[in-house]
Amino acid sequence: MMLIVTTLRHWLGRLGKDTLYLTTGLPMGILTFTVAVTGWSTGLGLLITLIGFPVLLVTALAIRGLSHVERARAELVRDEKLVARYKEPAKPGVWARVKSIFSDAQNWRDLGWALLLLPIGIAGFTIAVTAIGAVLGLVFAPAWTWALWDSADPPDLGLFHVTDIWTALAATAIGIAIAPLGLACVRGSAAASAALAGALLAPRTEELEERVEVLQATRAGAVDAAAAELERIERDLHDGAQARLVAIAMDLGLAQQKLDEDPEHARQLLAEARDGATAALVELRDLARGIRPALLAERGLAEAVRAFATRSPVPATVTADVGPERMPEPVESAAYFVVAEALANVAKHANARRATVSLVRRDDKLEVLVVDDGHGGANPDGGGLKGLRARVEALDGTLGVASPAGGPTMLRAELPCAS
Amino acid sequence: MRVVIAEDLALLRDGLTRLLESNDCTVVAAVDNGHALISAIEEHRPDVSVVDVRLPPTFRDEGVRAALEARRRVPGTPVLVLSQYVERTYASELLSDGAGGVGYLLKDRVADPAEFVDAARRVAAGGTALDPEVVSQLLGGRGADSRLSELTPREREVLELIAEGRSNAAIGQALVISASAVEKHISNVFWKLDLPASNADHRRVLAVLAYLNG
Repeated sequence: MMLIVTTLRHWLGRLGKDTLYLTTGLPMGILTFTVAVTGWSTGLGLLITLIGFPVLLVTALAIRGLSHVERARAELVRDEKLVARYKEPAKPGVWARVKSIFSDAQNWRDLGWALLLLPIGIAGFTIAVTAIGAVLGLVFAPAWTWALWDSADPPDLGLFHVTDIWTALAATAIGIAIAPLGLACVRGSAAASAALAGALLAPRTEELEERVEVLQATRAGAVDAAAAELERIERDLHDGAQARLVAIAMDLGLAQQKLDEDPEHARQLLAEARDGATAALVELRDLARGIRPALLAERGLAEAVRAFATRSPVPATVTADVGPERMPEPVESAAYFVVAEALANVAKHANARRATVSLVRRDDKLEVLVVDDGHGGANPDGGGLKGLRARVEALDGTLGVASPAGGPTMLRAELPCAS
Repeated sequence: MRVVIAEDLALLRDGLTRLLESNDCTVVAAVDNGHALISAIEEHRPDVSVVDVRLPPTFRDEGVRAALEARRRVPGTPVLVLSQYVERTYASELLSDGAGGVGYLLKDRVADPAEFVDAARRVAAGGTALDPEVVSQLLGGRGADSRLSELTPREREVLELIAEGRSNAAIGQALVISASAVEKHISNVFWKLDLPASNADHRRVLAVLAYLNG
């Protein structure tokens, strides 16, 4: 019983929206057709006098506005929203804006719909009114024939004359029987009309275009991030280990020179050279760790993050629920550096007492969450984070930072990790 | 010998200072950027300046630019440029004014203090001191159509040693040939490279430049 009620309610709701869509289509069609035809014919006719041009422009903008209404109207029938996508002017200025309007294919598709909507509106209106009228007329035949009874002129329902109560009840039966057909007519016309609206008013390749744009942006970001990373490594080598080795070579050379005349000085230089070698080793090790931590390669994300957290100046607890299977190397690496950068920032800026790191792998997605109890106010586009975001986005992931003044700061990254 | 040092890393700046001072040089100024180098050269007129290629703020070729600017303001002021790597372009830019007094060495060379100070002295005296690495880089990427292809292998060796700033005697020693043989090779090199007759030092610089520009 419940099921019947919900189904009935659903179909009545559907019918209401479809009917509303089809019946408003006619006045909208008249409006758009009038605007389009008068606007364009006036504009084109006056083009020679230069007034035509602004008329065309205003017409185009009016059609654009009406198309927005049409997109909203189509939502009565369509499940998904129609997204408008117009060309942006390439540069500021009136002329660029005008150019962007007239060179936009969407503009011309809008015009197409504005013209088509009149015949479609007429057809839709007719179908809706006829179908609903016929079904209601038949179903309620006993009632209205009784109210308007005139035996001299029995009502003519086309198929047959209602002559008595039995024919009236037969009309009701027929009405109930053809109700699904009427419903189907309304549904079909509304759906067809809205589908055509969708085809014309939404950019067909919109999703693909958007995806391409996103990919271009993230690819550029990834290339930038990689270049910046290489530059950092080269700089670190140049100023770090390479410089140390030069200094060691210098000390050793001097020590050799002094060996006979000033052995004490030579001994001191040798000690310095040894210290320098140790420092160079440390620097090289840190650099290698900054490129790819050994533990990450050998034991995977959870252990590498735990090990990193124990070195963090701000105590950090790590909870990891990532399963025994390893994730793709770039994902592990990106997740590791998200945590590393986040904890480094916590230590540097947040004035926090503790931090928590959580790694959760669910449904081929890895979520990385780093929360601290510091004073907040982190810049979500600060140097390190920008590079990280580029790295995460290159893997089709997302990186978000929430850091209200007063804290806490929460950094969350989500990485797809289908293995 | 009075020296100005331009090196941004304190570790190496101090090391160089120590190395030069314990080899009878006086470091009159040790600076960490290109602007300071130019003013130090203008102020102190040193016998030679030892300059790191990479200096702030860009950490690219600031040192080379600063050295070129200093030589524009104080013509012929000797500069010995140091770098972790060598680029032929930089060497020929430094030599292009033809005034000599140019050195370009890998930082590795500081491992031999005596040799390094010797190179600095050659530069201070108006000669050249190009790193053997520059020279071997050149040999690696040299096309067959250059004027240098006319040189015999022996003449080429002589030219390499000239580029390193060796004297005739040193070249003779290195190649184990007599002084007169060295003279003969050198004049052949000058002739084949079509260098105008002028004083010997100047021709040596021009020969090196011709060598660099291939």
